[in-house]
Amino acid sequence: MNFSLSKAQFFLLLFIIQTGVVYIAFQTPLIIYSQHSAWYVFFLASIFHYGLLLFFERYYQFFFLNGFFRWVYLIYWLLITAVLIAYMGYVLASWVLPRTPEWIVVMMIVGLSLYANLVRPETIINIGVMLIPIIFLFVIFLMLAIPDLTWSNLFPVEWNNTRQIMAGMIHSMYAFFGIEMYLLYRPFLKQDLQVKGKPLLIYQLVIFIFYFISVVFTQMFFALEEVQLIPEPIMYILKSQEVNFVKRLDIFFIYIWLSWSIVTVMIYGLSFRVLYLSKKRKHPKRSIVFFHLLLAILPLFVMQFQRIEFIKNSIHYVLIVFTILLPMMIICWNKWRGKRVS
Amino acid sequence: MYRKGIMLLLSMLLLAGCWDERLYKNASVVTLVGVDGYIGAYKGYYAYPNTAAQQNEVIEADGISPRDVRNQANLKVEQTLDLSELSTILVSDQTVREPLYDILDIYFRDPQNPISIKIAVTEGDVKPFIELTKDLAGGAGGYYERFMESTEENTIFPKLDLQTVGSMLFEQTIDIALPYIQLSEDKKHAVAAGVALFSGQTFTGTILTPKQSLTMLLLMNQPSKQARMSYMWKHDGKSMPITADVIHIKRQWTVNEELKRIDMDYLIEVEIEEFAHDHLYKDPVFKEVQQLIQDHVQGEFEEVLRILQGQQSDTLGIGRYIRAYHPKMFQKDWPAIYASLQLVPSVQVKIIRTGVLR
Repeated sequence: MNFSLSKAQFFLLLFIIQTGVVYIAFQTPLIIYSQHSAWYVFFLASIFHYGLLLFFERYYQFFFLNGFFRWVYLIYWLLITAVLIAYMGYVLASWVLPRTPEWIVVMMIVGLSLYANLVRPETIINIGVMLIPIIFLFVIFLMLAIPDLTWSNLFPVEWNNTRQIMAGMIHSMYAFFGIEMYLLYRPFLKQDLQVKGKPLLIYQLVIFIFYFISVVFTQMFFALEEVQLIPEPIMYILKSQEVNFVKRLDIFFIYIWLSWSIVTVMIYGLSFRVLYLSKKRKHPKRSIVFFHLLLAILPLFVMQFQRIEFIKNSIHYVLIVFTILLPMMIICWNKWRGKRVS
Repeated sequence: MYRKGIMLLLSMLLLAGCWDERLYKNASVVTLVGVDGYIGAYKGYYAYPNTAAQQNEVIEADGISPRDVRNQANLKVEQTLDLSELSTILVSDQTVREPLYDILDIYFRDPQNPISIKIAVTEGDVKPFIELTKDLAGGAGGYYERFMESTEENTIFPKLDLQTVGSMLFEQTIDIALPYIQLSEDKKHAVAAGVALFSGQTFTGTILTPKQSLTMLLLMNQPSKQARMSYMWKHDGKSMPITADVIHIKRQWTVNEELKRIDMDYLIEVEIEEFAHDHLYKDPVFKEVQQLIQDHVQGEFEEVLRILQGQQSDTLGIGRYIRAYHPKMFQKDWPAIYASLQLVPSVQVKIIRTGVLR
């Protein structure tokens, strides 16, 4: 595929992949496992995240995928996207559309992604710009909860409890969602552009602050025992805010989150397209349609409370493998063999 | 082909939402709910406006759970009850002897129910409190909501809504104190009778009077728009009332972990709002008045702390403070530890304003 990315496009793409879908929910497992230390553990996890970005930036040329690993990642992204769509459908059914058939919701999401993936890749790359002001709104309305926050919920921090810190670090993985895409899209950046140094640091700071606000707000808004019962704490905070212009603020933001998450699904579709079409194929459009057909079917098997819970309780281990370990292994292996992305 | 596909997608977009359409014209929009009874034998009351008759209708039903009560009530109304505009829940003092969350679960679980609403405990059955709203032209729930908000502004009721109550119910380190209301003698109005103290999720049976409730809120450092205290000043054989309004509070707690003692220092700055004797510009009068208020507040602080500890009701959130800043002192069985703490209040009152008279 032939397209190039500016720095802004590249980082916007990454930001949406990383924050879409998981932003409203990743705080719960993190706080359950790291208790009052969640904010501090997330800070440590963010340092690790920055280290990972630096590593990826230094060695991205060595992320060459052979036929086998190409299929591994294609299948992984297909399954991850199916899980994301299932979760989106489940959240919509719980919060706003309890009577709407689930397959309609899935079809709508997949239909939009299919349309976006049948046209030029620039459509998906640039559509994220539309989200910037509404994501900003998300954070502004969260600020309404400031009077209800309890600062003492942030303490005590158990600096020596390594078990708690490790469990929290592992569950912080949700915030690293899709970071392997850095390696996929980095070669498409216009050649004279520099990413390392200040641009990467700014990206890290933006994503850290964006996530950190949500972690700290959740921790200060809910009691520890309470947060265990609340799977989407950010939505719950917004629901509990009273404003004059709308009765239920959460509905307003569920749709913002939905559009943000649909763009994430589109980007996963684009990633499939980029990787799959990195080799010349006879019927590229047919494969994209087939990919979306699977996306329309697979989520329907997952959209149940117990299955969603099972995935939420185990997916971080999958993320560790596919976003950290496997890319590192592939990079080290290719570096040793001297094989680079052309 | 593409055009057809797009048309199909667009028509699907238009379809979405039809299944979840809810129109107010097809529902009885409930603004006030009352709950009596206990698990297995609840009685519920739902007040909703009847626009044709310009008054509120009250539906009564029995059931084994709050949700079942609502189902039973639906059998008696022409249009299904809709609680999305609910503004107040009243619960009888007998019902809250059982864990409060049992009746609140449905409000937290169903996203259509608002959680920024008021909740209060009634003296005796809820029924007369619901029925007094029948002849009101406005919403029944709105009446109690306004009533509680104005009492909050007078620092009698703590500023609470269902979400904050729910949050505290799950915490061992802080207890709730809910607005407690009585009926007036003529049974036509609700009267703020103080706050009902909870220990954990259950009502202790102890009520703080409005004056004690104000003192509790001062101890919590939560004075609202007005926090007025009135005392009698005896001078030269005459009695003269003094009213002071709290302007600022500065609070400092010093914890001695070994002695399990907390020194609670308060500096309360007040404005004199009533003092017919005048002459506050005279130093002896000023000092005497200031000392009088200080002595009274000191006594009230000690009395309220004694009641709270006696009921194992940590409404001040001392547990939260200790868990956060003195974690070694915090133990799992916090209510028992709390009751045995040595709480030593020390109040200093400063008159910083005297109104527009000296």
